[in-house]
Amino acid sequence: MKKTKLLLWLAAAVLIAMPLFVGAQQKGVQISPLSYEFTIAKGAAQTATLTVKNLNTSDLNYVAEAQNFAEISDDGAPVFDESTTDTSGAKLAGWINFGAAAKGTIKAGESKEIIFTITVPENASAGGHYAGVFAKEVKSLNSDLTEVGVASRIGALLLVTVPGDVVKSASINELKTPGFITKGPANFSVVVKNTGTVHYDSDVSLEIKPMIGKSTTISMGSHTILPSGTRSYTASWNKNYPIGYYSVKAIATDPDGNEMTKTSTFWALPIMIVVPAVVLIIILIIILSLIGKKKEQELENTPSSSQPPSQQ
Amino acid sequence: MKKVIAGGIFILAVMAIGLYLGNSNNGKIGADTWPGTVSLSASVATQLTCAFSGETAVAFGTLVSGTPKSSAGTTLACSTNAANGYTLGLDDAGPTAADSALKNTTADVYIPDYSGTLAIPTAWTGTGLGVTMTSATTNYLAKWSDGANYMGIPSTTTTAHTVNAPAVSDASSWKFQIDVPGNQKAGTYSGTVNFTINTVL
Repeated sequence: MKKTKLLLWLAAAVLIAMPLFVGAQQKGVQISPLSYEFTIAKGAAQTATLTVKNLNTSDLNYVAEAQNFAEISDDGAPVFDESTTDTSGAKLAGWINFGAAAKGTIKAGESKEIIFTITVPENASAGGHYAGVFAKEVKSLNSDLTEVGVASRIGALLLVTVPGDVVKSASINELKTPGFITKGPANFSVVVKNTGTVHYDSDVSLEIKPMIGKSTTISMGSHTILPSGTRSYTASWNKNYPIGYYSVKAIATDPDGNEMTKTSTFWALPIMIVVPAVVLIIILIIILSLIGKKKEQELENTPSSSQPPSQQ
Repeated sequence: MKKVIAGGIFILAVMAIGLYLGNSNNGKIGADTWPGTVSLSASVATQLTCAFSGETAVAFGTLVSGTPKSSAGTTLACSTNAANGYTLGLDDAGPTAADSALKNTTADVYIPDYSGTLAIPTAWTGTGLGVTMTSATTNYLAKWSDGANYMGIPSTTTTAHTVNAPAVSDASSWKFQIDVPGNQKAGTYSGTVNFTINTVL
């Protein structure tokens, strides 16, 4: 009876603590979606919505801002331009108007839809244009203290294609194979370059073919590549003891979805298999030669049967 | 014996008819014909949630040249369902690369940035406002030397931490340190360091 009571109390405590625990996890700022991809003609406009949710228990003051980027790092992080306000009108950030949503307050626990309009100017260059769209927390600091505030600036990435004289081309710049390995896994890397004027997603895979037997295909994933940019793809072939000569073919999709290929080769001689095999062969050779010698000696010691019996 | 064989053939025939009927409906046995069957579908939007914990406003108190002061630490935890993960960049919006976020509240004077860089953070020596990463759930880089090496905060958003996979409460912890040069103008200084978070392409 006591045990039952104790269990009931425990269950009640867990039930009471659960919302507190969940509440503790639900803090901060949440945004959705995380990226937009639009094709907008010169002179045309496109409207989009960034939903920002304030999960904190206090109100969030924010300003909406856009920042250009023209390249991304090898791990996919945008490299933003210096200025957060582009007034030249030549880049995407300068084409974005946040209107009434440019700044405001999001009450604790509430969401706000930041609606923004992208208007592509008539003189915009055809091709890809890129920017981040952010809700930046406005921090109020105590002016009587020497203090540094920490503010979140959370946003989505905007990829806009302006149709026109767009160049779509790409190449596989590099396929790195291990050359020679004594055991697995075998590591490979492929570098794809976008030589065109608009971004695209390149799907890359590897085909590993032994001299004899079935080939293996490994997916290296899909990544967005910006114009003039490169992306590295890496993959491991998790075969413990590959053996022999292998040909490797990297297959990457170009902006039109066609396959581009580059080939290379590598050798695999696993010590764990080769050394015992060589030792075994040497032992076998020694045993066979010993047997052969012994037989020879036996033949030498055996009196010849063709010898005529001695006459008495 | 004949009855047993006939019974076996009958059972096989029933099974074959059942299989045929099942496959003829693209594997959805009776889905369109059984009453009370409802097709459900939904799409989940990509989202990114980030929350600070620890110090979000670091008051350094009175600074005396030659006596560095450190913050207790700030942690940023992010969750995302994006397949490629998220990235975190820092900037202090200083007017020049040499200026930190901390501006004199009555004059156009800044405390300088610490001399270590994001590429090569260094063990603390000299003056300025610096930051170090003390820990991370994933992708912690040895260059931070467990929070012993500092960098000046760039004036432009610069990637400092990237996670290339969906994440749940993926945390990175940061610590500020400050010392002022002997000729730093007396007064109160304040400013903001931005943590820019977005998805990875």
